[in-house]
Amino acid sequence: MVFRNYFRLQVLMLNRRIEEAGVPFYVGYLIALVLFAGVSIGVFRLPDYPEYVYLVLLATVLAGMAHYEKHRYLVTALGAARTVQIRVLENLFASLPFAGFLAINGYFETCSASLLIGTASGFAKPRRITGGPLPTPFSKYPFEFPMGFRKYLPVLAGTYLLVAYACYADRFGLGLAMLTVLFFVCSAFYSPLEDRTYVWVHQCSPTAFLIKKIGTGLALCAAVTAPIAIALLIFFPEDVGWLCTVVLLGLLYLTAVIMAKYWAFPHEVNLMHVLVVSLVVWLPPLYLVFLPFLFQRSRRNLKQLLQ
Amino acid sequence: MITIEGLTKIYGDVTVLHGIHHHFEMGKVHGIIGANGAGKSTFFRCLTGLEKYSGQIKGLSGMHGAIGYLPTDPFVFKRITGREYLRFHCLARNIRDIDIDKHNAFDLPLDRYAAQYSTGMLKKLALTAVLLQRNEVFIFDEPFNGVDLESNMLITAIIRRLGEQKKTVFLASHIYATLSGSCDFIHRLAGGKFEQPVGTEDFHALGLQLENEMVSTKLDMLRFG
Repeated sequence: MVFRNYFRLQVLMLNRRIEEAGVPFYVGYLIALVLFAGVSIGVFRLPDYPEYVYLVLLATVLAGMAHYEKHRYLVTALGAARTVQIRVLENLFASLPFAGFLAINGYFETCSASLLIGTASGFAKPRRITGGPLPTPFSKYPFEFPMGFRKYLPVLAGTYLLVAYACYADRFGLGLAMLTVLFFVCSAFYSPLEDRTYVWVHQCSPTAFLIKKIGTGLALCAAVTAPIAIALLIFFPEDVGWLCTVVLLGLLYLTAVIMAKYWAFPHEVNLMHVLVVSLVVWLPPLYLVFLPFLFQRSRRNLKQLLQ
Repeated sequence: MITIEGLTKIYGDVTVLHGIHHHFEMGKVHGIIGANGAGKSTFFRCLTGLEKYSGQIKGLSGMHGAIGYLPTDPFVFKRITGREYLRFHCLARNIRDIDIDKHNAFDLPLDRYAAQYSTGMLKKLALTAVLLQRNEVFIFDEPFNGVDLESNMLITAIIRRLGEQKKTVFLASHIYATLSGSCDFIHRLAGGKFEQPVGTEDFHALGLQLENEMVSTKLDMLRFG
């Protein structure tokens, strides 16, 4: 009864959230399904180790689902044992689509691993942020990169290690895949939505604000990805074309994400924004059309806060 | 002079500010009083431009980068230190070469996550940020909420100092003594409109009037045994 009520409430909340984004919830589910399938198909097209990239994606999703406050509330309301059961079930549900895609593509061992990760992560207690803050090289450029670096440090470290392995094992595809993951992670740094005062406080025009945001984002993202790009260039000089393409597309993707955020601001990015950004990911020539469009929309949206 | 003409703010079917017509002298400290939900914070957000409104606010155009706003509940991210919070607010105003430690008057643990601060510490952090920005107009929404006695006195002194420096200060507080001790004028917001401002010479009378309205009559409505 408790579990049924809990999950019914979760579904209700999710439906409301989708409808707040301006679409009926069933359309939202359909779009999410298409997007998930699109990303998954894209990952399994990678020449090397797509299953591990897929596992990293799953781990990122599961890490994003671990909230200390929510966990504490559940423990208070339902008790520790039921909280663990709920979290195991939740994480297992989240792992199922990943496991399904792995099985369809014939990666049965990794499929089992994904279910195991899903189950095991449910037992891990989300930690409260205590103790001293993690030092970050981006402390002078608050706030997206210092926060993102601290939040995603394990993922960043994992990708760097896998790139080292790719160079050692002569696997350019794996290295390139990790570089792609890194661009996605850097873009995720921009997902937390700031209060309106964080935009209002800037003493500049909307255009200058956007240029500053994008410029800082590109420079810091380049700093995060440069060691990997340089290592891949040294170890795989013959694949420089692929490398340049991924770097260019990654930076353009980050630009699109930042602009989509301020197009939606002060609301969260909704399905329409996600669709536009996804479209340019899959059809890169559309960048030429959409970047000016996104810039124009976000500039217009920021006009009220930045005079 | 800041001139408000027909300022109206409506949320859904609730009109919070009813066509306000009012004047605020520049270079003075203006206390704003009103019951919970009277619209003080909404008025401040309209002044800053954070809220859309109908009507006009004259006298603040071109001052966007010179307004410092301390909200009732300053927003902080989870993984940002106090130092990074201050740096962000300085950079937003193109202030780069500043020794943050030198200006840490409230002795805040700047290298801890701001989200771990208590309510009072957070208020002091946000206040420090606003002061570091070298603003001309200051809007303080409940700056005394949750702060300790020592900081309370320091904040009162800061407001007085800003007044001496001819900065324009808007201050909302539910502690009458802090207003009467630091303001040049007190403006009462009730029913979505401002009443006539009261100058320092009438603060005592206003205090007695408020006490009579808000305490004495209400007290009689309650049962004590």
